[in-house]
Amino acid sequence: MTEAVAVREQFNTRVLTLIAVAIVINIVGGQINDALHLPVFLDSFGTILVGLLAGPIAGGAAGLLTNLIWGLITNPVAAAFAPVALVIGVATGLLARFGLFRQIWQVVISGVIIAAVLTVVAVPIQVYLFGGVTGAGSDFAVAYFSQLGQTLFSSVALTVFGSNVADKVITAVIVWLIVKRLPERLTHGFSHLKYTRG
Amino acid sequence: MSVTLELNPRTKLAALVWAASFVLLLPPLASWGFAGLVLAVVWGISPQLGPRLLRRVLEVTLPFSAAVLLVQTIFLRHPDAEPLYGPLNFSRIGFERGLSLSGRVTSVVVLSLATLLSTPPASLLRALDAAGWPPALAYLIASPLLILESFKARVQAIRHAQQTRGWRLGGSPLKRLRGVFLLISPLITTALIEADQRSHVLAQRGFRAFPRRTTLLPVPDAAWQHWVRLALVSLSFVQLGVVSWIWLQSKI
Repeated sequence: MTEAVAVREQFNTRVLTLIAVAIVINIVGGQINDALHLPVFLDSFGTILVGLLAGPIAGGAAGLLTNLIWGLITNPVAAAFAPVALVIGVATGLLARFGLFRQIWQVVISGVIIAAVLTVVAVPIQVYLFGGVTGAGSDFAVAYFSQLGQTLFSSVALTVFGSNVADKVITAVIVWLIVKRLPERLTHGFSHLKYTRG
Repeated sequence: MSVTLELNPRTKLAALVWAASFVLLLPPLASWGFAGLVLAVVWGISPQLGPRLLRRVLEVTLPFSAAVLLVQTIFLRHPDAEPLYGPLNFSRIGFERGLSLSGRVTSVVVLSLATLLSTPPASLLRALDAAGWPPALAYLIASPLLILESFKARVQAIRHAQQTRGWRLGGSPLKRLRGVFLLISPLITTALIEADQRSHVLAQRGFRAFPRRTTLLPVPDAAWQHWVRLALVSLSFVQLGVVSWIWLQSKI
């Protein structure tokens, strides 16, 4: 089977509809966060769900398209961070493939790894495209580290990792708990799930 | 029907790509002028769209611009920072940077919202399909726009249902964290049920992710719009190249 055929088979109709609803879950996750006033983002539930069920390519597509569509609807800043969302989906799919989504402690470690990987991609975008601030509440953390004498690059890196690590651990654990409890009739056809359920 | 509504959705998307790179070339005040110009043009050719567009633009950009200007001007450390009060400083460099950034973002917000408000998602889907884009990509771009409002309503319904079972908003962070699970778990489960149903419907209608099909009701397109799209996307690459070149020059 060639790579192209393999990719095409990953994008069957079932996976396509999963990605479409996952994009919307990501967007309304922000609405849930607004209601609960938690200091996290909660905008990656759908991306991590697709990464676990359908693999890294579908997960990356869900993340990338979420931010592009979000950028089109309300927030162009989100579109600039589309590569970050792509990395979250790809990292989730790969971590699941390597068996790091089988036990709860592995899921916590995976959340930390996802936060670390996305930091590597997000920091250059935030520093070079936005001068370090993006209009989010975390800008004040960047300013705080800057006042402490850190360079802009390290201030942004500390802020991005710090604000994402709790978010990604919480998101990964919640999605994992939901996926573990899903009935078979909802998960048949998602071949990547075998790496999570064992 | 106004010119804004008549343009092929792909032409509007190409204009958006062009503008996103064009604003990187503009000085701070010019980017604000560009945003105002685009708003005025859209308002001029579509008086119904103008007020709605202005309201949405203000809702999105005012908080963003205020936060960016405040942080860049007063809180971040720039070489020209002058003490203001306690740890606060005033920086002209920071002010100009904040002005530039918020102007660029406002310009892109104006164009993206004008595109969105004047383009029904179904029309976008048909335009991409008619142009021979992979049906999968067209579906993935347009479908979330079609189902977004129903999902927002579903979150509200789930919230009300959980509240009738005794769950309350607020409380300690741990209680609120439990609330995330109570809201997101039914949302994901019902979304998976809906995805399953949608995939069956699409499969029944012969939907495939990649093969090309024709559309029954094509969105109007003209040859000149094809060339405009090509020119806009090409220009955006040139503009990005110029920005990169200027940035590299400043680093040498």
